[in-house]
Amino acid sequence: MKTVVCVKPVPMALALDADSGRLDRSGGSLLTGVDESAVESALRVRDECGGEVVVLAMVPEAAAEALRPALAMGADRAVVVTGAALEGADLLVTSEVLAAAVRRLEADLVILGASSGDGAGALLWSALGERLGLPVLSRAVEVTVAGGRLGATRQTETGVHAAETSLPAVLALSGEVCLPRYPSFRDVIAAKKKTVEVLTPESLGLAAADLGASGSRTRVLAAAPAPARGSAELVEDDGHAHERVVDFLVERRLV
Amino acid sequence: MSRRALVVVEPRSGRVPAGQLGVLSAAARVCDAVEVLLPVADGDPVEELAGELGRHGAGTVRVVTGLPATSAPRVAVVAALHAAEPYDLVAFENSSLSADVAGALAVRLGAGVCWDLSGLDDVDGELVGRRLALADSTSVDVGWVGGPALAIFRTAALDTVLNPAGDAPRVVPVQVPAETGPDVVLDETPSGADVVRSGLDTADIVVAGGRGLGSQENIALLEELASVLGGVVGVSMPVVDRGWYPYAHQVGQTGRTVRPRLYLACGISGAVQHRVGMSRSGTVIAINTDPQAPIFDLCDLGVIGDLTEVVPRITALLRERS
Amino acid sequence: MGETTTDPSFPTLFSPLRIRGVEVRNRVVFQPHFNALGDVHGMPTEDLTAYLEERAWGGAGLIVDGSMATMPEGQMSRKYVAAWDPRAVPLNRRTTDAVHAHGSTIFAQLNHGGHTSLEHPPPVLWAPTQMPEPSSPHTTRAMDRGDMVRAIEGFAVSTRNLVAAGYDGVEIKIAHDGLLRSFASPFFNRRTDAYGGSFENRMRFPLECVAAVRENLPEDLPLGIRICLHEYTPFGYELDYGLRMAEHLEASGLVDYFNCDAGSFSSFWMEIPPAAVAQGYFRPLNQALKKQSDLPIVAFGRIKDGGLAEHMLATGEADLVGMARQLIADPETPRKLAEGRAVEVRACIGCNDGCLHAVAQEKPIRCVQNPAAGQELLWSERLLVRAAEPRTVVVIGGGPAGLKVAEIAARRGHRVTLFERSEHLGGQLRLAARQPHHEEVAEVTHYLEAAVRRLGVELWTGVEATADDLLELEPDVVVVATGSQPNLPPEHRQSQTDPDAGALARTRGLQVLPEVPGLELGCVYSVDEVLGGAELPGDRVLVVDGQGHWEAAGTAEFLADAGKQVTVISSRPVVAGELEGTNIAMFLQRVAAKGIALRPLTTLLCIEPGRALVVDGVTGVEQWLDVDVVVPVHSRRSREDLYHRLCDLVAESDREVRVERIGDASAARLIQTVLLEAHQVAVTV
Ligand SMILES: Cc1cc2nc3c(=O)[nH]c(=O)nc-3n(C[C@H](O)[C@H](O)[C@H](O)COP(=O)(O)OP(=O)(O)OC[C@H]3O[C@@H](n4cnc5c(N)ncnc54)[C@H](O)[C@@H]3O)c2cc1C
Ligand SMILES: Cc1cc2nc3c(=O)[nH]c(=O)nc-3n(C[C@H](O)[C@H](O)[C@H](O)COP(=O)(O)OP(=O)(O)OC[C@H]3O[C@@H](n4cnc5c(N)ncnc54)[C@H](O)[C@@H]3O)c2cc1C
Ligand SMILES: Cc1cc2nc3c(=O)[nH]c(=O)nc-3n(C[C@H](O)[C@H](O)[C@H](O)COP(=O)(O)O)c2cc1C
Ligand code: SF4
Repeated sequence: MKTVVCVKPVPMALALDADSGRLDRSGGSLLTGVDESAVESALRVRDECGGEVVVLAMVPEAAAEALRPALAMGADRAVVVTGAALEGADLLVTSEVLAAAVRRLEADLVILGASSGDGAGALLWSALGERLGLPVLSRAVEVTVAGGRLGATRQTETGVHAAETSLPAVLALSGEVCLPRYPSFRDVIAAKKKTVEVLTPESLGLAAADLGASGSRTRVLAAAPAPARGSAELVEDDGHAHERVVDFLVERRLV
Repeated sequence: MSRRALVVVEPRSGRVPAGQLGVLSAAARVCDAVEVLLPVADGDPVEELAGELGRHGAGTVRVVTGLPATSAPRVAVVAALHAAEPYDLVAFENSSLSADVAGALAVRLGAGVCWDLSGLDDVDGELVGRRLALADSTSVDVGWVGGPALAIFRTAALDTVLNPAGDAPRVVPVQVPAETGPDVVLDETPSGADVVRSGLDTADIVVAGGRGLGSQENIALLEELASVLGGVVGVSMPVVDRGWYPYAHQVGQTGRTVRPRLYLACGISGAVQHRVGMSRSGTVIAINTDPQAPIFDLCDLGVIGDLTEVVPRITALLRERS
Repeated sequence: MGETTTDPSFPTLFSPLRIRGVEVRNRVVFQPHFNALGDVHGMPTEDLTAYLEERAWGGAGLIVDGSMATMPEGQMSRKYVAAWDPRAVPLNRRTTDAVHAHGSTIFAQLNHGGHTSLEHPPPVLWAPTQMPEPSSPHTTRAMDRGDMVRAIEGFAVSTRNLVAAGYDGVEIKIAHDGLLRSFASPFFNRRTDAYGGSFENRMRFPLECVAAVRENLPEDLPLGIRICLHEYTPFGYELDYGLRMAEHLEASGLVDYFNCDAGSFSSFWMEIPPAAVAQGYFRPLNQALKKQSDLPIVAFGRIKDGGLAEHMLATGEADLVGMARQLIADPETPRKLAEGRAVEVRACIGCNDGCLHAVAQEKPIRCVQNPAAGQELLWSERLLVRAAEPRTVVVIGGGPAGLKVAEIAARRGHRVTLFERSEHLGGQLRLAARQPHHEEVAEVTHYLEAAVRRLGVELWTGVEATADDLLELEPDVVVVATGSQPNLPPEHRQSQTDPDAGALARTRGLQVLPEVPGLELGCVYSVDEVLGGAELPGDRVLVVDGQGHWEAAGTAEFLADAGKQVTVISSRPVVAGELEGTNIAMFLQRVAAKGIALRPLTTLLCIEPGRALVVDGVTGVEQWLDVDVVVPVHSRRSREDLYHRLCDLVAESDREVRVERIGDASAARLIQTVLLEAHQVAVTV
């Protein structure tokens, strides 16, 4: 049983000023809690069924170190796919590259964390499933692997449901569904000795030109800051402020 | 010019939810030929549903009966329809299922997807999607290269446009495709299990509390409101330091960086180390007894008041209204 | 500081202000404070120059040097800089030149100590009327006219010297201590001559001194008054009177700005308020004076947050913000704020342990947060140099010691990996911060945690390091900062969560266990357990204060707040006697209010379930106390086994590894020396 966990390290947001909005990225990248729970889920599958866990990320090489905690947690290998052609890759390119890497790794199960904020991640796992011709179970909060089948408890707008499919398959989690394990000191030492393998699109047999040719199918026409904050409305609670809050939520279409 | 659209809907309990009608209205605004893919179960009131769709702009309703509730058959149906006569736009509401469908369709059709749209316009003959990105801090106009344009809408942002005199749409049956993809088995009856709230990182709504909570018991007030809003509880550092709530929920410089669409800050003063973690939230509402609290400098709505009073009243009113 | 004000968050804070003929580049004032960096002859040392220069480099707009003494009789300590003495002029010139070189403005504060002195025994104390300060046993000499003339002359001579030394202005102290406030005070001034009786008469002598200073100041140089607006004593004056004093002084036309102040020697915790006094507590005082006065106002009192400072200025609460301790703790505060690095500011924790505690004993100023304070020439962060060769440094323990060593080593360019076995960084301070009125202490490690993350230190939390495998990391340097644990017998429940980490040391005779029978019992709870939230089996708690600082005192208060009936015993004459004065004063006030029973000079002999035997240190009488829980706080034991094992392994191996042990792992102490030690180790890596 080989599980590949696709993760997306994010830059550490350390010195972000509310007013200037500047982001200090000097602190490197980190796995998010969602990614950690994806790794944890994969390790639990391995604890049950044996096999191997590989973490995979499409990131600049400098961010490769961010995968080390996953190795310490117990992942067997860490692989990054990196290359200039991948900068600003869109859904089609990302899914193509990841699919090629997953094929190369001969995964039985691919696990992804949920998207972080924007909707792109939610599309990625289904795009990846399509590319690989594999079934997708999305929004999973619980995972079981038994008898060559993948079971999941899914959580969607319509409630909590059970689902299952045959392996190989793609599984996407619904957020931070489990707490990551703490590595032992030995694990850390072992992880620090491992190398993070580096692949390029070329080494995966994807010609940069092909990636370019598929091109981006969407484009940003204009971007502007949304109406600025600061013209805050202040209300004093006279016993009715909650009504204003609820109306406000409705006005902003947040409920 | 003539523009063809397909809107994929999913009736629930025999009705098409208002949000999906909003998507239909949005598509109808910019397309002259609007079709709807309507999966139904045996016994669903197809006539009634089609009529409702017609009044919201559907010219043709393609009804497919007994389609499994998984994404692959939908991908197959849409791809087949598109192959028969291409669409310029395929539109969905924002949901788990549509994300699964749209992502796969993008690959299968080599098409672009824009998500989280709050509007769609025709600008000089081109479709332009309007989207609030980066937790609503940036408004972005997006376009598609080639077709079909796959569009996923944030339904809460849409208005439904009703045309009571709308013609009854053409109702056309569609066959369930022979090949329904991999054997995904979904148990459609909800298990009744409690919903697992996703972590802070991905939360759309964060109900956050600070030292102003005064005691650990008052965390329950946040949890209740969060559950009504479908959000996650976040806290400031003093709350974690006192052991009132787990570290995993700390927002700020030494905790998580969140960018939800709504951040509700209750009893949080707004120290810079906290702001670092939440300043890119979409809408910020603050509740604080101190009118001078710095958090009021970066909120959209500020309530000067006692959270132990205001928060339960918000929860109660939301419950009442829903 | 360059003119690179990039951060738009502080538009007012970083705007210049004109005071009389002098332009101050921004609104941050390094408040005057006795720092005991003069020598025993009242001459400023090079340390004093470096101390102020550091704050000028860090971006302060205005530095007020002093207090300085105006005459020998008013010199509160021999280390007060002797402004009257011409020999101080060239030395002060050294300071003003150094400060000016960084673009800051520098004034000097003049004070006549009056009836207060730090000397033991004090010299003759001068006062308007013969009587001791109510909190002091030392009475005073009532001044005659000749004394007054000399005192006025002292202000005049000193002013001339200051001008010669290059100061840009002079501030006169009519504040929490000193002769001039005594004259103004209806309580201390009972004279019936022209200098007492009426308000105008009481203000006469202070005004004569002010006039003498003004006469000796060049036209364009400003004169300010540090004014105590509220004495906060049962017998003293309150805000209305303080405002009246200010109004009267302003009406004289001699004054160019006011610097707010409060408290008095009998309420010294309000002069230099510890963390138990809320930040912002004094804002109403500043606001009131600002409202009545047309002069620039310096706000004072526990201002440490740039946002608050900006807010106070922007909303017209004050024209300048005073920061004494914030700039002691982080000289670079203004520069960091200006450069958009507000999150890098190291906050003053309001402990008074380093600053006030030292100078009250006439020892050079120090700071818990800032190991370099008062010894900039040795340890300033400006002296850090990048290591010629980056080394692999492994730090074990994420308490104050480990974090500090990691911070400084990383700043020097080393590759640093830090292991902390708990989920959180911070060590004991996470517990300490749960004590009432003590939460700001956690800002020590909050700062360090942010720093090490920013500096890219590789952090492993939730990972317990062991000596056995450590060398596989191929370190050049290992710093063991594993801290300390309550010194309870290994049979005690504590060992389940915090395994005995001194067993090896004990077999080698390097550690001993305390010899009180019963310490292993289930009714014995350690401070770590109590603050960690343990459920206690009963309400009657005996806290044994064998430490004297916050560890026992704050735990007693924590328990009282949780509804427990608390008795604290100490073998020493005072419970919590190691606390710094303002802290102990406020602790004792709260103890009374919270009904905590204190029994000094009482020693614990043995513990049995439900009771504890104590002995009175004076009478020798033994007594059983009925208690449900005993919380013994005696010196903690170092978690040092890992260190010893590692040293053995290194000795056996053929590797060259430097192993250091710092912080509580070498001996349990307070943070100040722990952080200095960590800094010192890190600069030698
Ligand atoms: C290096 C460093 C890192 C840090 N990292 C973080 C971090 O990651 N996250 C974080 O949050 N903090 C962090 N801090 C701490 C930060 O500086 C603040 O101390 C903290 O954010 C304050 O939390 P607070 O707003 O809950 O408490 P406070 O500042 O005490 O504010 C409490 C607020 O509640 C209001 N209030 C009181 N009672 C009520 C009531 N009944 N109803 C409504 N309002 C009420 C008060 O008016 C006040 O404004 C860090 C600090 C440092 C130095
Ligand atoms: C209640 C209380 C109040 C206090 N108040 C004050 C005060 O007001 N002022 C003051 O100056 N001092 C105070 N102190 C003392 C102060 O906390 C200590 O001086 C300081 O924490 C010592 O720092 P340290 O880093 O050496 O050790 P610690 O703070 O003990 O940190 C050691 C760290 O090492 C970790 N560790 C141990 N073994 C391993 C291992 N094998 N692998 C990985 N990690 C390991 C521990 O988990 C811990 O986090 C107080 C202490 C207590 C308990
Ligand atoms: C060690 C120490 C010595 C002080 N000595 C003086 C002094 O000589 N003259 C004076 O006007 N204020 C003195 N102060 C008071 C400070 O100027 C300031 O008002 C006080 O510390 C509160 O401000 P802060 O919270 O910014 O530190 C002293 C403060 C400290 C900490
Ligand atoms: S010793 Fe304590 S109170 Fe004094 S400046 Fe340093 S941190 Fe602040």
